[in-house]
Amino acid sequence: MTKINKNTLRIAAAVLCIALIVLGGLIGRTRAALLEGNGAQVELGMETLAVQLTENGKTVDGDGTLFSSLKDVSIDPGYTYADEIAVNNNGASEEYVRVIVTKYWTDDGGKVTTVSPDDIELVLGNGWAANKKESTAEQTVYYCNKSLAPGGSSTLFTGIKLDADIAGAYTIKEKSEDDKTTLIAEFKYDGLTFNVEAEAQAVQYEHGQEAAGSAWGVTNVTFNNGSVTVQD
Amino acid sequence: MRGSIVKILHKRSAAFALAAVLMATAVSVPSVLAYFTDYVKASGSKDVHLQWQTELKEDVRDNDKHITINNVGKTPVVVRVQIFANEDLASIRGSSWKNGADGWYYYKKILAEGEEMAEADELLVDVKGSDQLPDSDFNIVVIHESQRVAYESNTKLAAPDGWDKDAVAAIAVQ
Repeated sequence: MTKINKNTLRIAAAVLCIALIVLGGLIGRTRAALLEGNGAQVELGMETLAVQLTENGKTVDGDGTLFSSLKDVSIDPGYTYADEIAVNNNGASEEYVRVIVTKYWTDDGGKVTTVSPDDIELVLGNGWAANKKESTAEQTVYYCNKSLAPGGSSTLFTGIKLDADIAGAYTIKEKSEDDKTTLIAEFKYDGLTFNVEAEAQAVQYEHGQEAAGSAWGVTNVTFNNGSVTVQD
Repeated sequence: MRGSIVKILHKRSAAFALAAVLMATAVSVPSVLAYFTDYVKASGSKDVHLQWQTELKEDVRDNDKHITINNVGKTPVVVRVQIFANEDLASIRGSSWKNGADGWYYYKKILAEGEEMAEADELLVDVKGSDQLPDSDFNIVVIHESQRVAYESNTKLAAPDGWDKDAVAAIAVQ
């Protein structure tokens, strides 16, 4: 075998390396884009996909922005207070949406786990379904069953109420003083605060199944031509 | 020949070429897509108040007992009164009250937080004229109960345990 010059070999290897890298780059690359069905690419700016929450027609965004209409209202157990929370597509592209709702009770010391979040009831609007597989005692994930076109909207909740039974959840304690015995009712829920958090999420309409699977990790929800189905 | 091949493989340049092949393989794997998403968060909270407190007022005028109740608490309540009196000596009436099947008199309205019952809504224990009364003393005992308002639906109050459901259903919902 002919002796191969060391330098020649190195140069050849370097050229081969560069050639292979360039070729590999031509074959595939990382990109963020929409792909239409015929394979054409549509480059999309980040700002065209947008989702918005509204309450009674007003935009809400951030902590403490929900339930402003109930500020001066005494919440009576069992009474449903009208409160419309909706999800809007305020972007320029069609999208699929879901909302993660978290409910819990607190007092001055923080979260109270001895009472049930189920006693905080939100009246679900038409067009939404809960995904039990993604939900927990505190958190429920709701999917809008239709994609939202730009400017489109869907009402998630129409009202809120506290379970009537919380009014009867008390224990009687005796207090004796000066030969008098006083019976005092100690209420389980008195002085507690109910809390609701809502996070609306949107994902692109094009290749929605792949997009939702990648962004949300959901496997039992189908996204097909604008229709969303939650499979139990 | 074999010895020559082994010799080549041990050379650094051969290792360099191998690395190049591996790198090219890595960049030619199928492309990764990043999908577009957006999100927004909002939250809210509200305190719950369940304690209540009411005061019974008994105003005796001309042997008659005029009964009203004040809501001195911070939550709306429903109230009822039970009266122990000799029926031969006194009668009970009040247009704002319903005589329940259980012997209690139910106020037909919700008493709002801080509200004092109007005199026009009183429950009256009408004692007969003094010329009809016995010489001995007699008692008219008044007991009152109240409960924090709760709803069965937006148009119907929930009856507290042991309260006459029909009488509670007759209480006007505000």
